[in-house]
Amino acid sequence: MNIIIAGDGEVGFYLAKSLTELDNNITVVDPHSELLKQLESETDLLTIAGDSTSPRVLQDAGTAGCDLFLAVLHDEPINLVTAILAKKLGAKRTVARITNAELLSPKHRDTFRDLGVDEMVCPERIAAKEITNLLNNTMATEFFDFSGGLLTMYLIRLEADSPVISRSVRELTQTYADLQVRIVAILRNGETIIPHSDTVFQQGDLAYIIGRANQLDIIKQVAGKHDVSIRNVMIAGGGRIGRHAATAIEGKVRTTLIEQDRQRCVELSSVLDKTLIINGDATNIELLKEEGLQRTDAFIAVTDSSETNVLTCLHAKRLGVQRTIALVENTGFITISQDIGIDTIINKKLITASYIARFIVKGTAVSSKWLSGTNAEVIEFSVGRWSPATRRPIGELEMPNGSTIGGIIRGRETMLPSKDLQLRAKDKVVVFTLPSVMDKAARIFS
Amino acid sequence: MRTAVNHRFNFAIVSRLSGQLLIVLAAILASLLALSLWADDGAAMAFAFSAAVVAVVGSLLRFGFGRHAATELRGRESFWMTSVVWLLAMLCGSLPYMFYGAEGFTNALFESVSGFTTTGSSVIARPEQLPPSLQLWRCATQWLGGLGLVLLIVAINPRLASGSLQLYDAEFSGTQQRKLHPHIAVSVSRMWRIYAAVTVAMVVALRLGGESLFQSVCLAMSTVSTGGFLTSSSGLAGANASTMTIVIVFMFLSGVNVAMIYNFVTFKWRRFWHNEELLVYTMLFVVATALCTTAFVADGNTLEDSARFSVFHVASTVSTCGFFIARPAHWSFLVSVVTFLLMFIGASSGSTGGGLKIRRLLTLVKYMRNYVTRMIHPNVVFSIKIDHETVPAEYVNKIFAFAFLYISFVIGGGFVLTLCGSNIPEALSMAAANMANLGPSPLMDAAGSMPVYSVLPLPAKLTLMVLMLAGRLEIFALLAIFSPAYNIFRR
Repeated sequence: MNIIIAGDGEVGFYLAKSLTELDNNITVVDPHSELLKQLESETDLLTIAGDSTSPRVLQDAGTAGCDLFLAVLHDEPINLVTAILAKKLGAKRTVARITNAELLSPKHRDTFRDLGVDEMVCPERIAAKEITNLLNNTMATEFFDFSGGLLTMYLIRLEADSPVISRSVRELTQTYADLQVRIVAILRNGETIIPHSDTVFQQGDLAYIIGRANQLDIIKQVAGKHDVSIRNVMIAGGGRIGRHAATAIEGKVRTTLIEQDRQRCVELSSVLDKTLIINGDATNIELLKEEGLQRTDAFIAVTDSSETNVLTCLHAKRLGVQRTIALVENTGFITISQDIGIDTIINKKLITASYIARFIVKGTAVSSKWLSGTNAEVIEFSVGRWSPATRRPIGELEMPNGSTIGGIIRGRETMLPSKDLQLRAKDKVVVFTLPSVMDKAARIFS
Repeated sequence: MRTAVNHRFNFAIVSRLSGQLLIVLAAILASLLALSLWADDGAAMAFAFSAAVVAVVGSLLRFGFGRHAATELRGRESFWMTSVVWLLAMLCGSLPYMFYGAEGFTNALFESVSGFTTTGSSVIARPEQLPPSLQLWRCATQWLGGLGLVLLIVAINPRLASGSLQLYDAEFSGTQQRKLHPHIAVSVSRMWRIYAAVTVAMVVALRLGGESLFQSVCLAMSTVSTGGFLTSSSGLAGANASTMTIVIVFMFLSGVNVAMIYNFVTFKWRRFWHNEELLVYTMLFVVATALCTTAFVADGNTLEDSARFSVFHVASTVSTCGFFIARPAHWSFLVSVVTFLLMFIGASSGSTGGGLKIRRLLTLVKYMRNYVTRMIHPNVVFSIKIDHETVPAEYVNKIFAFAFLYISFVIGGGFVLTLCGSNIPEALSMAAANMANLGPSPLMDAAGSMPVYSVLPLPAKLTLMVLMLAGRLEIFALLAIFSPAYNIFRR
């Protein structure tokens, strides 16, 4: 696949690297030649220094006929102009990163589609959405819906009082006969394990579980989780994510937002109606205590600094806050942050990449989620009419090593995979896969 | 306001524009002269003299001093204009009363000030004894003053580009309103058209309800402008049920922001339904009515009497119309308290009514609420929002200053009135009622007949005139001319 990425910021850089690993032809366009040099030395791709709003630069990059054009610079108007230009110059599909969630409404989406922007992605908004989902679903560390909620994937940490510790997957299915879930992967000490029936659970394992929404109670029981009801939420950092998150939850829960920049506070106060906005430094623990950190049920740290976010979350944990969510931009920190007990890590780059990945997996992917803490991915495929998968039952499919089927959605029905289930065209299949075998897996369903 | 002090005061433009207004007034007086001649009511000479004097003065100002006026109007002139125009109009307005010989200078001026400021306080004990043309003039002054005289000038001078906004702000309760149209002159003329349309609608409704044309026109002009002059000393006592209903509805409407009426008739429903001020205004009306009714019933009146009086009384007070009707047999103290509060609150911003205005109070209440939050959270940052739009901090300050001045004027006025021999509750309620351009203070007279101001001594009358004018010009326009920055002799 020929992909052009305009923008070599954090998101662009991460996308470029991961897409190259997936064996795509990547060209990166950015005005900063220094950054490009660094990128080129680390990764196998082509870079072009120049302004992405210049048609000549875009032509140079080979926009005519490219399969996917991603405009992920920091500036929303530039992204939109770039995407429009790229479309007119012959790009097959364009994606622009935006910051104003207002544009995502169906009406404006159509307007921009007419102009040539096929897709718009607002990482901050997706991150905020993830945060609100997590608050509604307090037991999971991470979760992701497939086919509009028919199947859900949960990432759950096994607590000390979970009944399954030191028992194998087989024992689990024997004890809990009505547990209709599939455990697709286990994260242990930064390692991704694809479990088989003899794998034994350990305390602190992070298990990726796919199941129907009605399985929630039993999953909770198995994982040794207790319900947390969220009434007070504190958000540290009034950046875009903090703002989107506060907008989504204010009014439903008592929301306090702490932001260092006074001017930004004033701006926020004119957008947020019911949030208590405090001007202060989130690293000042005394201030947080004064504003009632101990009484807070969930603490969300989304300041610009990953370190601050991790540290304040740790502090909140120590003061007894039930749920902590930290924005960690440095991907190197993710595993360690989870190890030291922060409930959930949000990463803008991963979120954006997850979203964009669905455009890359050869046309059949409906949605996808890149998992934090591992480089694996969960993809929802639509089974193609002439695909190999429609000819043989699941047990005989040659699923590559490092990938596994998590669940099947047929119409409004959901099924768990079994050896003799026969897939049909238009079925949706949720597949857990490592990046190295992603293409192979995709081929089975297309 | 740097512009205010950086140039020489432009006398010519002030003269020209005031002259223009006087010529308009002269034309109105002349048509009343015609009416008077036709009806042969004996006021023809008074109108002839008045029209002549106003026309001469107006022409002098317009074509004499104001001949070569630049069309530019700056901050300093805007505020002077506002005050000069109002004073001139009030002086002119007093002429017919004087020439007719009904009243002396002070009383005539008082009547005129009360009319133009839409207050409706009257020194004329028996208005039914005045000739019809003079009665019409009395009501017409209210109608002209209803939307504001300066707005009239803006409406007839569409080319008065720069400075119009300041004029608009100076007069039209500058509560940070969104204009109805990008061009100020178009916005203003739309407002006049709505105003006129509402008036005509009321006249038609009254006619259909069986009132005479003369009575309908007078009552409509008094109601829609929230003035309060009546053609009879017995008030609306003899009015039939349909008239009462129509008056109540239109009193309520005149307390609503003109822009909201515009939004309503042009089907801009969203802006209409999402207007906090309108909601509060309506709620205030409903709650106050319910309270008064309950209080009256508790004090031994029949439910029907109580409800009828309460609806009318509350509508008359919140809109600052100031009409009155016969009271229920037993007066309730609680009603006095509610009335006094309503007098301070007043109508909606952008309406013809007076008072502190609901939008301002809403802002202050929100500020206070936030202030309490700040005591617990010293670092909290908040914005005050009305209709989901942030009210700038400087504006909040201005509202505080306004509220302080407003209350000072009422207390100061009340003090002077006490010195003139009124008792304290009476003095305060009289000061508050005139400051709010409400007019006959409903608390002044326990017997419930129309309060007559003619018995007051001269200083009291002067005080009330200042209060009426300060209330109508929202204080700042009046105070600005006393500030050194607005000194006309400074370059």
